[in-house]
Amino acid sequence: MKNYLLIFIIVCHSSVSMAGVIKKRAVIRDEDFKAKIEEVNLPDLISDNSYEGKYFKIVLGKNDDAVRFDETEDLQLKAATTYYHLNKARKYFVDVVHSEYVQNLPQLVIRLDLINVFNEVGHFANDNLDPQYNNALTIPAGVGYEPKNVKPWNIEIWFRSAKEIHIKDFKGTVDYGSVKGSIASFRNQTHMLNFQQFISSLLIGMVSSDSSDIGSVMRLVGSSVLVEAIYQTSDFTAEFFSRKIYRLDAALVPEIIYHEFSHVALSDHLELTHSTPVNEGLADYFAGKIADSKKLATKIKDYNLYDGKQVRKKQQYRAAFERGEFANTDFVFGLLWNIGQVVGADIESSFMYAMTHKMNTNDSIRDGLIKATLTTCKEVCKDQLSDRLRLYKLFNSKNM
Amino acid sequence: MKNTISYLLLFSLTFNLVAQDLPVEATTEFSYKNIREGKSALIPRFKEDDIARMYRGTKAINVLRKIITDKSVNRCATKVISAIESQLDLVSDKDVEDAILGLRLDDSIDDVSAGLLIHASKLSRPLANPIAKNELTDEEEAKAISIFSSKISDIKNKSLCIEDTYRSIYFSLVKESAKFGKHLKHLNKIAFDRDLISEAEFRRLETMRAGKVYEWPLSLSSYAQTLDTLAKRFPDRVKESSELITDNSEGKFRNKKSLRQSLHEKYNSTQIILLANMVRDLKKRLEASDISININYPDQPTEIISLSPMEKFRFILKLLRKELSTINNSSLLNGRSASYIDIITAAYEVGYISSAEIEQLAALEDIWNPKKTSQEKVMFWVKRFGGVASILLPPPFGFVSVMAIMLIDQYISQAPVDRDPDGNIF
Repeated sequence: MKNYLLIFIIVCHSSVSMAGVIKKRAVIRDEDFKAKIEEVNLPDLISDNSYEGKYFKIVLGKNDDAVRFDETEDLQLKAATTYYHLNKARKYFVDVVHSEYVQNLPQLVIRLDLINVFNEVGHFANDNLDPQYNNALTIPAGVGYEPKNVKPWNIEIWFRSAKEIHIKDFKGTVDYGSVKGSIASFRNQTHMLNFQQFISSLLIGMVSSDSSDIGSVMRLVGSSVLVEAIYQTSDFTAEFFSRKIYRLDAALVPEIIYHEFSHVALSDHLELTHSTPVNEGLADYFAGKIADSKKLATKIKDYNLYDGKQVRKKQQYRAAFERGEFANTDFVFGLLWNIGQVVGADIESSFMYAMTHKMNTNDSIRDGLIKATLTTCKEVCKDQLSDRLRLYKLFNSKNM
Repeated sequence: MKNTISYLLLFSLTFNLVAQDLPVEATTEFSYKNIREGKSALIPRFKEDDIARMYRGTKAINVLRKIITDKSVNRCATKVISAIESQLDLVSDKDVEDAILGLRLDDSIDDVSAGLLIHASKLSRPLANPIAKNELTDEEEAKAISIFSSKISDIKNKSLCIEDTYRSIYFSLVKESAKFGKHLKHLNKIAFDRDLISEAEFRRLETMRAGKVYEWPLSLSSYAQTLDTLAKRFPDRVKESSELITDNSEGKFRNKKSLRQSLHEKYNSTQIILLANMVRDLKKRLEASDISININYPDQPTEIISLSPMEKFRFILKLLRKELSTINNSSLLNGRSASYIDIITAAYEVGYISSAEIEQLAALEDIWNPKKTSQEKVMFWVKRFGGVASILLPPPFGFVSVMAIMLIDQYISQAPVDRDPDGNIF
């Protein structure tokens, strides 16, 4: 009897192991943070023929069934990549952040290549309604709508299909500001310099009647006209030299997968209904920590023609960062990264997670985020006054 | 009106000092033991092993510990030195200095007291009958001697410190006339010649004069008094160490003095507590859950403007700055001007802030008094020369210098590109 029991346990264990050690090709990062495709273990699978695991079920579009292992290579690459990285992200929140909320999350449905707009009542908006490409989003759970046979759904992550679109049609922010700003500064200084030289040549002309002075003035005017022409055409020039096509295969970019799962992990306090600089920044921060990188979605041209995000040391706060249309700038990501360095690597993950419990989605950067940081530091920091003073210094240096 | 507010603020600061720190039971005995400093700035690294070999765990250190805790001698630097010389049978100044450093290494004394003892150990022994110049008139001489005579009993009082007595004589003399201070040798001699003092007393006074004890910024007895007061008022202080307040490396602080040494030389115990209380208030304000500005109208509800966390922080710093200025313009510090670093050092001295906190609080000075970085200094000259070059270069090449300045500026400048002064009240 004892032997039968032992054999039964071994058989059960090996069948679970068989399902648990399935290897598939997925996009991962190498040591230089470059994207590469490699075979990876897919952990915690509960199916031996599809991408359905204990914690995640990867489905195509509006389907309910998981993507099967006999699907096309392209779809499987997306399914394997999302499955692998979502499990990695979950493990981070369970093992490092010690989030009970994440630990107790039920299986999440992850939708690939879904182009429908999210509808709070009907789950999926009509197929013809403004199809969505080149992004990913996390949707809040819904109660469903029985009269229309819409079943309740849990939190889901949706990855849109990639589609090449012209930059003119791109609805996101394209940053020409720095180029334009530099040219404007150069233009102003050149005009000022030429004006000074003009005045000095006038003064010199009053004491000497050299005919070359007229030529000199003409050259001054010429250089000013040239600089002004460059400035006036700078928008066109920037556009001419910049990227024309935008495309993002969100399901193949590990940091985007981490970012979306972070939204799920933080959803016990930060609502998923809309994007704000604070909740996007926090999701970026945890994505950066999971990826162990200060750069997000960079060096991945095969799947992404977008510049990505990174921690910028010198980036200063601007009031405009509080606005919704700037929710995806990297200021908050950089700021949170710096906060982590101030409080110390040993506590930063738990610090940030504790901080999210003192915030809500609509908190501003300048007020709510700083307040939550300082309050959390009072409770969590090793040397609470010193660390808070260092935080104050950091915020001050960021011109907040 | 402005004056009234300043007086009120000053009154409140003084009230804070007096009322909030009222009597603490005099239970704690003062000691020179090091409970505030880090590594001694007086013991060079190369000498540390030698001093340790000579004194650590030896009988000599026990003798030295007894001397420094002996109440009959430990308030007078000269008496401590005499006791060290006689009990350890030391003759040379260097050996006595090593013994003092042995005490310091043992943490039985701190750098401030060690420094004072080393000063005292270097008091030279003058000639028996020095020839003294005299430019005093008979009347001036009579006045000076009368002042001198009033202190004779102190000179003869063995329980007092001779260095303190001599400092007291000196200050009384120069208070009357600065000229008296230049004739100390002559006055010592006259006192001896007129049998006001004995030969031994004359020699001791001459030693004090030659050693210029009146120029010492601090005496061991006054330092002991400060330590005594602080020990009684702040009995709960624990031993901590901060390199910042001990460091006296050249260039970092003026006159090669540590922050703690400067603090004790400039301020007495009452003043130290007054300065420290400013940081205590700063800490308290930092804990405030909210700071708001009330605009009170005569016949409408009050308008309340809550400050953002950073506005709150900058307001607190500005308030501290104002309080510091008020104190500096009062007579509470005897005309001395306290700096931000003085109040931080004072707060650490009394234990309001820890050694970790002092570093961070000291770093806040950059916020209200930012120092120019070397990069900014370089930029200043680049712009100066670039500006001249842009005038000298013939058109249209003037823009080359403009472009060069902009590129260098963009490359090295750490200054914010786009300041947002309108977004904050403070």
